[in-house]
Amino acid sequence: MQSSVDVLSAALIVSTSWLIAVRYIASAVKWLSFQSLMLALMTSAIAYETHRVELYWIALLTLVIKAWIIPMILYRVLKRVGINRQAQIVASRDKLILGVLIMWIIGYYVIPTGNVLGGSHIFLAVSIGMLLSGVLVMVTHQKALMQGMGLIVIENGLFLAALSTSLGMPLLVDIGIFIDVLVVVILIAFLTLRMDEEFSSMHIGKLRRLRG
Amino acid sequence: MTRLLPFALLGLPLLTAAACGLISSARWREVVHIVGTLLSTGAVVWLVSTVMTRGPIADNNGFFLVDSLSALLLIIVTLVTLTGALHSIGYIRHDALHGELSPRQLRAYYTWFHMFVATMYFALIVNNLGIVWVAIEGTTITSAFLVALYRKAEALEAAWKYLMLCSVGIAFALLGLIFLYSSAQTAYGPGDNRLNFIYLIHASHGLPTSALMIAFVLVLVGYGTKVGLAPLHFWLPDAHSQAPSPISAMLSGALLSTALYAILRIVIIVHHTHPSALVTGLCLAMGLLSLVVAFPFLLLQQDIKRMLAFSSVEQMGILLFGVGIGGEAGLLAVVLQMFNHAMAKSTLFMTAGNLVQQYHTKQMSRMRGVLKGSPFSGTVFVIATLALVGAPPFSLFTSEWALSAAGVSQGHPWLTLIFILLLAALFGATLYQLGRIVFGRPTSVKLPATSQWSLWPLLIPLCFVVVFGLFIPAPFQNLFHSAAGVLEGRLL
Repeated sequence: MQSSVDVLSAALIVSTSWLIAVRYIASAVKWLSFQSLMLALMTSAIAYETHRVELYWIALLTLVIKAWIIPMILYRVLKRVGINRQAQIVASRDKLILGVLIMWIIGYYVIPTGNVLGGSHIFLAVSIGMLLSGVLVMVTHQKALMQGMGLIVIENGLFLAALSTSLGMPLLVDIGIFIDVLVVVILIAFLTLRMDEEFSSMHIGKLRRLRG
Repeated sequence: MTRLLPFALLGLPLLTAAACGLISSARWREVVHIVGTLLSTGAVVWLVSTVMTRGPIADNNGFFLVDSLSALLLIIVTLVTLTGALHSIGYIRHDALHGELSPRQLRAYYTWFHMFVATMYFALIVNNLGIVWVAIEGTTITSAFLVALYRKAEALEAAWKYLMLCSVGIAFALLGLIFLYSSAQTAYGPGDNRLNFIYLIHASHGLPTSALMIAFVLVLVGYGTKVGLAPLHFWLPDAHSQAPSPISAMLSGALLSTALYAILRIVIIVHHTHPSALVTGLCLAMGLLSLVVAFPFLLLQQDIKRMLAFSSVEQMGILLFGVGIGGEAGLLAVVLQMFNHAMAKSTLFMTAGNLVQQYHTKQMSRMRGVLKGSPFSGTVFVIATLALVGAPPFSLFTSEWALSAAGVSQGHPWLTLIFILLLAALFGATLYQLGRIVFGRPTSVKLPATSQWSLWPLLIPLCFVVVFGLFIPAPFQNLFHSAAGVLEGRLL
């Protein structure tokens, strides 16, 4: 049981690290979907182990909303603006990979040792790493859609943090967060499409009118 | 009946939003919009008076929590919303007439307006801090749609920055809440009520100090982004200047206070159990930093709405500084200041909206002689600005004075001195900006008249600013005192 959860968290690390360095935005959407799928599997594995019924519901919601609906919305937006859009980054790919590695290391060392917060140390470290990597995606990428995906990686990291420290937030809170994330993605889609209409690009370098 | 009131607070705006989305006649939509706003205003007044007479709705396991602190915030949000709703009619009609908004955008405006109000009410009346987070994130989403309403390049930019920065910021607040939740579970065993405010207040003695501190810092940084505290304020001037003016007023008057409320809840928990120098120090430092950062931007600003936005950064800094000062007198001053700022700033944003529509520019250098050019809006703008900077005899003078006095008596004389000097500098900067648009010859072209809907509602918040400087009626005094009591941790 433990080993399957370990494999899944390794998959989370890999998917997050790859997402930052993709060439095409379309493949980032796929990696994001894969990441959410891994989270859903992990949740159901933990649900099986701890016999908590509501965790199965959360796993199902993760599967439906995060692994299916959200990537679908992003993919549709991408189809509208052109599926071959490439990601644009401010630094070279190897530097980004190095950056992500540093995030994982920070995640590992920043976690308070001992059992102050409860839960498992290593998963919390992975979740902090994911959160920081998500921020790194948002900072280093120039395309609006990629920044949006960075936000979802952050959300996934938070989800893992809650799962690893306290077996998920209270059910109502979790459902609320799912709704929030879904609407945020719809808003991201809306804004990206408008930006593409207005500037014929979703490069955030175009957003430089408001200063001072 | 009382049990149902909180549901009405959520249901009425949501129903109004749905109705505004479905009705296609512009006239009927306005009627529904006004009736819906009046009904929810009535519900809030009813709920607040119930809470004040019969005591708070505060069960350990209850879904809702309405104490006098929430009551105060509900009153603030409602007054700003009521004014904004009435002002919207004139403002939006003007933009529709000039072809800046299509019929579809009109419909979207009123729908999101009420969704926005519903999420703010929601954040203020729930017990579970996780749900408060969900609601605050909800306010970001609903108001981002409103910021993007005009769909111009600048509006899109403002909405994008707003959504991204606030969502990332608030993610850290959620991390803080996750830590709080898990430490409560470690200490007291699993349970769904472990994030309830009432539970945490009574149980937090058993929580490790380190967990509480981590949670506090993360929450302060997270919600601090939303409050617009420096150095996390970068989205604020953009969003406030690009949104339609009634929405700017609500963002500044109602939403910033609501986000601050979310921080205050954690501050109460921490103070209640482990009063710590870290909490006080962080609040004082971030408060003063916001004042410092706001000053140059306020002084050099050309855009009237951005100028007001930086003044909001300043005001939020004052409030956080006051939270750091603490003590009975300090917190009472914070409560007063929060109310007064919401009233003065919402008046200013809506008046600025009128002026922008009349002069067709946001540049202050091109708005000259507003007192002659636009007598009603101009006069209101001057009075509200004087009130905002804390000139006597207006209500903000009282609260800023009380805050400084509390600062000295609580043992921070040097910081209070810096605070007063910064206030004086900001006073000068704001008055300088006011002088730019008041003096000078008015433009020779005759300015278009403003709709009555955009003028008279401004007197609602202005009344409070003017009257409360002279005397505060007993029910409000009661409300302010007991809200400060909750902040202090006395009346729990």
